[in-house]
Amino acid sequence: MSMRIGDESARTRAESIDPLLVSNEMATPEGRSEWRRALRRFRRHLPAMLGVVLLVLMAFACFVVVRFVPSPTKLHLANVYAHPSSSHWFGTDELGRDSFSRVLHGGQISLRIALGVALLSTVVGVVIGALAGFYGGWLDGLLMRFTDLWIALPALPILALAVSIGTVDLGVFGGVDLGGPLGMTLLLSLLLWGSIARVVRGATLSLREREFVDAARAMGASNTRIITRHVLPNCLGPIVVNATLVVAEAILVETTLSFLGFGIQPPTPSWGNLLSDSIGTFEDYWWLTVFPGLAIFITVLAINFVGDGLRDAIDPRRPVRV
Amino acid sequence: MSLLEVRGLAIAFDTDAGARRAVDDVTFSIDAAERVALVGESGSGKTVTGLALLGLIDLPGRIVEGSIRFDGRELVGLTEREYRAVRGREIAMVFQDSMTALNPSLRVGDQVAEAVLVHDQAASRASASARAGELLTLVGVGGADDGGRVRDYPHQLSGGMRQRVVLAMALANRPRLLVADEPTTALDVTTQAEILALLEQLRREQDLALLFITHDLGVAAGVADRVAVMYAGRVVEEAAATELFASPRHPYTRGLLESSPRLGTVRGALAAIPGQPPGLSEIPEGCAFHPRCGFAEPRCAQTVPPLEEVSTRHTVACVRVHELPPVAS
Amino acid sequence: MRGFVARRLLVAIPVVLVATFVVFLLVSATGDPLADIRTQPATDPQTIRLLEAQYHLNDPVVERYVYWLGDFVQGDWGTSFATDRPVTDMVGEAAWNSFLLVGTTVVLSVFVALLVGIVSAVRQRSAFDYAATGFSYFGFSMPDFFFALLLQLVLVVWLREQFDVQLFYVQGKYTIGEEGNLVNLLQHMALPVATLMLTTVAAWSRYQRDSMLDVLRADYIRTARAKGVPRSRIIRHHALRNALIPFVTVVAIDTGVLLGGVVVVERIFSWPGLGLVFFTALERSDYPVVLAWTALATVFVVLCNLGADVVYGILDPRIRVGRRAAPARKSSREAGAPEVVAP
Repeated sequence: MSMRIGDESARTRAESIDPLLVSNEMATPEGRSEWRRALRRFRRHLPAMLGVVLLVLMAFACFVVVRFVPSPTKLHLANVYAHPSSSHWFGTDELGRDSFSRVLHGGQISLRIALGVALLSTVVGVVIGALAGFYGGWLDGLLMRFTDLWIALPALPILALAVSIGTVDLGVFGGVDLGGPLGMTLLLSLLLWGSIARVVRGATLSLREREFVDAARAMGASNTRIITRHVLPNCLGPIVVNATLVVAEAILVETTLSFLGFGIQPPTPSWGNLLSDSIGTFEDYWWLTVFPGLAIFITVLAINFVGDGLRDAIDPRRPVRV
Repeated sequence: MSLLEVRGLAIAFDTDAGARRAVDDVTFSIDAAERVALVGESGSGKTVTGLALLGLIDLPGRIVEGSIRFDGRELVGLTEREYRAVRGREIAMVFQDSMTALNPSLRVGDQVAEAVLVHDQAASRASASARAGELLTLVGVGGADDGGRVRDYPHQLSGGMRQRVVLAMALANRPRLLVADEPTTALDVTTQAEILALLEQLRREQDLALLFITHDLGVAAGVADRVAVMYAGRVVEEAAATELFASPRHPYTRGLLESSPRLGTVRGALAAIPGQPPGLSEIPEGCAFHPRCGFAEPRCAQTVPPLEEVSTRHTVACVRVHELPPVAS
Repeated sequence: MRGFVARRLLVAIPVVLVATFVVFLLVSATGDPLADIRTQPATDPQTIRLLEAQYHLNDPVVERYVYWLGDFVQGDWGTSFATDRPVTDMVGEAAWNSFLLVGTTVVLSVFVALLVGIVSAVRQRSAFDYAATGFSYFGFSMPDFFFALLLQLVLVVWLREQFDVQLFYVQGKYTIGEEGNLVNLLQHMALPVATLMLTTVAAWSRYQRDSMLDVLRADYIRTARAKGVPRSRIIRHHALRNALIPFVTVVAIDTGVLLGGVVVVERIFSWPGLGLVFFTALERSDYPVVLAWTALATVFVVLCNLGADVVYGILDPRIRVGRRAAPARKSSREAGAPEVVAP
């Protein structure tokens, strides 16, 4: 899993977005109709629409339905290891807790972390990528080389090590438990910004040569203004695609860490720790393993569908339609 | 009989909005050793026409109508295997960007030798290499013996050198027709002139017919005996080069000539044609040029004007061709 | 070429230093290694002072890092707190076992991914291509710990219950008493390797397919066709040669990344490799092992990246016999097919 941090998946995908090409298509001031065309292509992308539906359902279940199910920590010792049934859709665990409720609550935590990571790592990636691309030269060389190796670092062990530090004092944030949801969000964001930085750098490099950037500069716009007002809006497409893929990465890494016991700790349920709780008994009580596992798989699959749909929509050169 | 006869050629591409014709009802012919230029803006269908001659139209594109006869033999509908014997041997093609037209990971000598080998099963590797050396010497890149660049990779050569290699490859099997698709566009002006001179010299020596595809009227005037002008997938005017430049009849050709600077002519501001050429999915009804045409009438939007002979071997596709005021020159 | 590699190496060294320093900081932040000893009432304060001095615990963290680095470079990786054995011994044994898994995975994955990727690209939009695409989605989206459990559920539990056969084992390297038995070893390796291969094959086959498609769209492929070169020769001689350059590069880089993946798999299958050593050490707060482990992993990753650069340099004539400066491989995207197509 941590390979996904090093992310050939994201790498393979991020690579296929050619920022040069995308910027040619999208980055022109007359790009508005191109966005509309991209939206139309996205709507026609069958897996992407399926992904959107699955994600909406999953979010609805984890954030709305979850309010109407029994508490995930309510014990019911007379009814342990109940098979899935109409009263307990996903069965119950060794303490008689409702597994459906635990999966939904776990999903809420995993999804929150993943979205937080996507936002934060996008910010980090955009800043680093824009700096490298816009200023170029040795700064670019240094930052991108660093990004290369940062992406390839064995992230899982390092994350596990960081989590085992426990609570740290982060000044304004106060004490943050690195194994808790906020701590996990921060740690994962620190690790997953690489692909976004690369894409932003590529787009910035090509965009800064374009006339409208020259024009802005001639009018006395500052570098910051040029980057925020002209360059970034014009590489929004690739950023969005990569941020989507970061969500998938974050879910996989977070659940893996929790599975290994270095993430969200029981009794707070998470998809990862639900699976690891079930390991000892999964030969007899398969539902405790299969449902949280499927939840992860379906969510990540849906995100990948959406990501690919977005990529194909903004990069129509790729004739690949699934 | 002409060496090449293209009749009613139509090539369609499947787009999001259905099949669209990038080339429609194109008819022209080339005699042995004749030089014809196909002129048009990008997207006018000139490159697609060139590719069609070599059977290189790939899905989502396909030839939907028409015939291409080469030396009396129908090429449309040949199998891939049959066409392979035509490519490079009967008809060869030179492409626009010499930077990308050569395989970056093969030595240029080997790439030329390959052209020899695929059409001559009997040739040995050594003899093919020797022939590649001769060809490279012929185009001025230099063979193995005279300190040439046979063993170089494409990235080690300049743009002009690479285009010479591409030319050597195209001429390896002494084809009878060379399709040159903007072969000098990517080069600087001096190199462009050198390559054009080399092309003309080799063409004379080998009795080669030439289809020269370009967007540049000036270049077309320099290399061609006859010129066909394409707009939105159709030929709108065809004539001998001298006649076309002296008395263009189609409003589009006239617009093109008025918008290109010419040496020796002192004029005021260059007149640009208003508007943009249409994309594949937005070709107008009737005469495709009418929305941009200063002489357009309501009937221009009704039917596609047929090519009509206005004088000997000078054809024009315009319903108002006889009503237009003569060109002031 | 030599300058190219030298420059890469020059950037790699600071990265190793920064990464190991960060790990050193993390480890020193996890707490006092003498905490256990201090709380034992019987401990002599003199002993504690000696230990503090021995481990430089009262020095600033930067100085301690320099001490540690000096020892590490000289091959003195310290002694495990938990087992009292030299760290080098513990890591050495485990490294061989991990290499067995990673090496097998890489070799098999390269073979399968190349085959799948090439066929998918050459027969784009065929049933095979769609099936391969579906598999890639599956591989990208499947958490490998869940996949490992499913494999166990189906290939071990279900087979045992339905047919009473035991084809695969899920714990360790050998069944006790079967040490050295190759068949037994393979039965133990099959599921961990299959789990690792899920992601690598999904990613690499996709990568090879895309890079092959990119190359097949390149102008020089059209040139070759215009020469009359047969399709089979175009694929073998023109396309594959160029599409393999980025593929090999990515494989080299991802082999470093696999080290992270192997951690999870070893834990699930109790495979006595580096991953298991790491987690055991982390749980026991065995910091010398943790430190040495992370430092090694970082060096390994950097070496794989460097290897990727070298391989790229060897395969791509534009670097091998370049008259101009090598293109900076800023990402594996740029090491990829598009750059080969349009320098």
